[in-house]
Amino acid sequence: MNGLWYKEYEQGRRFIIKVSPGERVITQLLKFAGETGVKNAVIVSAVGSMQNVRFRGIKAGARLPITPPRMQLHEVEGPLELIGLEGNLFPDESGAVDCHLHIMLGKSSGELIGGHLFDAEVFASCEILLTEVLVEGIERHTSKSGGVPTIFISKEGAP
Amino acid sequence: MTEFRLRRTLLYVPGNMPSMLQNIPMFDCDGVIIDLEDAVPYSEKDAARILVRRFLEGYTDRNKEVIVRINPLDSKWGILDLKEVLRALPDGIRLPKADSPEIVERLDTLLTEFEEELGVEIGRFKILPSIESAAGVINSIRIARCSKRIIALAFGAEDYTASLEIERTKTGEELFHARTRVIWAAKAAGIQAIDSIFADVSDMEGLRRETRLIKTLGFNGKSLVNPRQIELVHEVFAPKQEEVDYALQVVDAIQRARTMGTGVISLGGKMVDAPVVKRAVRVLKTAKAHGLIDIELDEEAIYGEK
Amino acid sequence: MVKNSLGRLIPETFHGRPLTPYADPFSLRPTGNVAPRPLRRVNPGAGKLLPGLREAIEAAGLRDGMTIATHHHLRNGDLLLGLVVRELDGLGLRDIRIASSSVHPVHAEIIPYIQKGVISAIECGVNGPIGEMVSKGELSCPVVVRTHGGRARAIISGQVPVDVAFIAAPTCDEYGNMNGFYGPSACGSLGYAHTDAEHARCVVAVTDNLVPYPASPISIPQTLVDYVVPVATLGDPKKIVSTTTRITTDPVGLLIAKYAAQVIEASGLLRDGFSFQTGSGGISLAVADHVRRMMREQQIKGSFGCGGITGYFVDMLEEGLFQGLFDVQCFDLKAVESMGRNRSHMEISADMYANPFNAGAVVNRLDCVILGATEVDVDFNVNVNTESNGYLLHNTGGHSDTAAGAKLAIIVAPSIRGRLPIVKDAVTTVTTPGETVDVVVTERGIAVNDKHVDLKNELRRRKVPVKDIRELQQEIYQITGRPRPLEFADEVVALIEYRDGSIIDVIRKVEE
Repeated sequence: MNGLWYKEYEQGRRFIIKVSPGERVITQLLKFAGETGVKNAVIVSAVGSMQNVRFRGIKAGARLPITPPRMQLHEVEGPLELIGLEGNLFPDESGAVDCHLHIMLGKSSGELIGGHLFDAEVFASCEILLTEVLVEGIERHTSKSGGVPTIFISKEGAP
Repeated sequence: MTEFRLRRTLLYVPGNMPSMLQNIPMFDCDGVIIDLEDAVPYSEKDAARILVRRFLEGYTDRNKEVIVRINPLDSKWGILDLKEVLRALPDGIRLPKADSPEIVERLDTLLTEFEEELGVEIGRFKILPSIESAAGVINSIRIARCSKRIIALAFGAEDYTASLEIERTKTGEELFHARTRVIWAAKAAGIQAIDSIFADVSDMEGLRRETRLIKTLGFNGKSLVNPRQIELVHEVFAPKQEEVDYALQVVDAIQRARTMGTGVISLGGKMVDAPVVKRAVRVLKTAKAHGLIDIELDEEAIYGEK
Repeated sequence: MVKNSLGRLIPETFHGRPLTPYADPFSLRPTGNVAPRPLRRVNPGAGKLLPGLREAIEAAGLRDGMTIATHHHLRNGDLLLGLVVRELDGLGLRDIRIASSSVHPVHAEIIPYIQKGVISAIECGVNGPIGEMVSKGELSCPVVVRTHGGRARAIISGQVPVDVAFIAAPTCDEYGNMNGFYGPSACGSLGYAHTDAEHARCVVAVTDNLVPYPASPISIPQTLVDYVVPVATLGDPKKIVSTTTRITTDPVGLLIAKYAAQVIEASGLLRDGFSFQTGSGGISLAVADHVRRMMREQQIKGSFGCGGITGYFVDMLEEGLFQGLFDVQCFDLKAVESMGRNRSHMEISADMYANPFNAGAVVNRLDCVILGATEVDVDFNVNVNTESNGYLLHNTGGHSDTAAGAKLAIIVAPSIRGRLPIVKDAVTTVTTPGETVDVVVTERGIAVNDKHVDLKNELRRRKVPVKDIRELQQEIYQITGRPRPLEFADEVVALIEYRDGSIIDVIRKVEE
């Protein structure tokens, strides 16, 4: 109520995931969720390399909501080292699982780039460790103020 | 490919002078930069932006590109300028002191706000960043790419030399590196590069020398301080007759090649391929703007069907 | 009241003079003969030198109700008219008419003498305060505005008989030979004074530069001059001729000049034998500059330049672009100096320049003239006499004469003068009829008189911004708004006499 929301969750199943070269990371993660029945999850670790990555930054001076004209879209062919993948999976209002991922990539020069991930293809390898999150009443909705899908935490079912 | 638009001459017109504003439709320049920044004294900032809006509202038969130079966004007037003049739908905004991509992005996002508010197409308002400091020159490469709204980089030699604490000379040796860097940055990003003003209106020979130089370097045009400079700059930028003749041959040859199902053809022992065609088309479009030729270019016949 | 052919209401008489309403520029034919003047005899030994103006006025037999004349070559530096009028008053003379070639702002000094009744009418155009006061009804003094050619016609035909002509002579000998080329009040050509010298009942040369006999060269000869009066000074040299006339630097003016040059080029007149006249204004000179460039580039050998001559035309003459210059009046020092140097820089009288009632004036040979305007209207009528406030402020000069004579009369004017539109539904005052005006050039576009279909098409072909004059008017109104019509009283205070003597318009008192 004062700008802060939280809810305790318990860890569920833990998975090691490998995605083959040429496959799209997000597509495969959603496929994985479908097959295993994982509704909510958190990425614990991810390493590998990527190509044809699309991610975005937010333009300086942008106000809410973050609409496409307020974003800077980056498309990098790569290949790039996957230095980090952060994020979570929660269902949207329709009940379908939805990812929210941020990515860090290493260029050949050793410099890092990164941002909010739209799409990435595996280049050579992709190893992800993921933990299922056991919790009720978490849903992803498009925020009216933020303009982006974000999690909403309801108090029901809280311990 | 961005839309081909001649920007040989962008004439500054002070935003606080009704007598000069009303003459804008008559000037023969490719575009005007209506100035709310340096030309307007502090005491007239408010009056000027209202005047400019009213002028633009009445100037419905837009026969040239209209750009408004606002005050810097970190001044107390910049946002007010936007608020007032964007309603009257100028083509773009010249942003002074565009020293970093973030500064330009800030304008970009503001323009988005205003477009939404005005209900006009997002991306309608273009940006012409002024590269006028050492930082701006250094960052020009990233600035050129930081927004799709950017149509060109404008080099501002007067402020640039001031920021370096050096003299602006008539021969411009001190500007050489900065100019080339701005041109590279612009061309690499697929946009145009516009050179600085030449302040001495009485020195037409000096203007001719400078215009020849900057055309050679790769600038697409110049900012001007006086309408009397327009004709001379156009003269320098006009394609030579032999260039036009050759370009016509190239276009003719490539159209023949297309009918034969190829995109390459030999013309007088020289290979005509895409870059040559591109240059030829640019020459012809420029020639047309100069009234040297009067033909319609059929892009599909030239570049082949998409 | 009758309407003339332009729809202007003209009274049947003006201070007892029956008026002929204007019909058209060319059909009115003169009747009768050149006006006579008395024969004279001056025997050997008799001198002409008199000690002062007073003695000259007495010797000339000037009486109440008579008419005097001066010329305006000293323009706003002229002191002679004031000197003469003060002497008239000193002698107790009343009801004198002034039939000078023009009256300038400097002559505001005679206003008290008009109020006093010394001067009762002005038979010429006026520049400045006198006209304004007459328009406001503050000064009771009928004015008849004439063109340069029209004044020559009026004097030669006897319509305006001049009793005594006082001719300011910048260089003069004791027997009356004079020229305007040298001396402290040098003004160059004495074009307007020739008519006075030849037709006035009595001719008085007034000089501040008496030279030993003979003065050389001779512009006006001793055979026409009755008396010679030396005075301390004729005028203020600084105001007689400008030291130099300059091309405008105003971008709007330059744009207008460029368009005007394009009109000249498109007209096809710019060929060997081209003849040309411009005023001394910055825009006119900018047009001349374009013409000069085109003549050079196309190696055209022109015939003549005429009218008021500037250093600019002198340069063109010396460069070989013109065969000769016909000079009625010098506008700057360079022109004055040239007259003393170049034989092909010829002094001509206003009669030869522009009088419609002789065996052919120089204006008839003009290809192209560049003229100004305070207003034009959708019928191409031009006003140069009144401003949009209705006050009579300017003389006509050679405007209507050259417009009638030239094959191509181009009006150059900025579309907005002091917030007011230049193109109106109807001009406040018609100076020059639209029938004789071919093209109006503003920075917002060019209007071509419907007579010239070919020229219009040629200009369009050359992508010169040709617009219908009404379209141009609407465009300007969008900026200025539509001006409120002026309010005039019925009282007629001045006539605008066309070059042939018919009345093209009148000036009525402005209702404040």
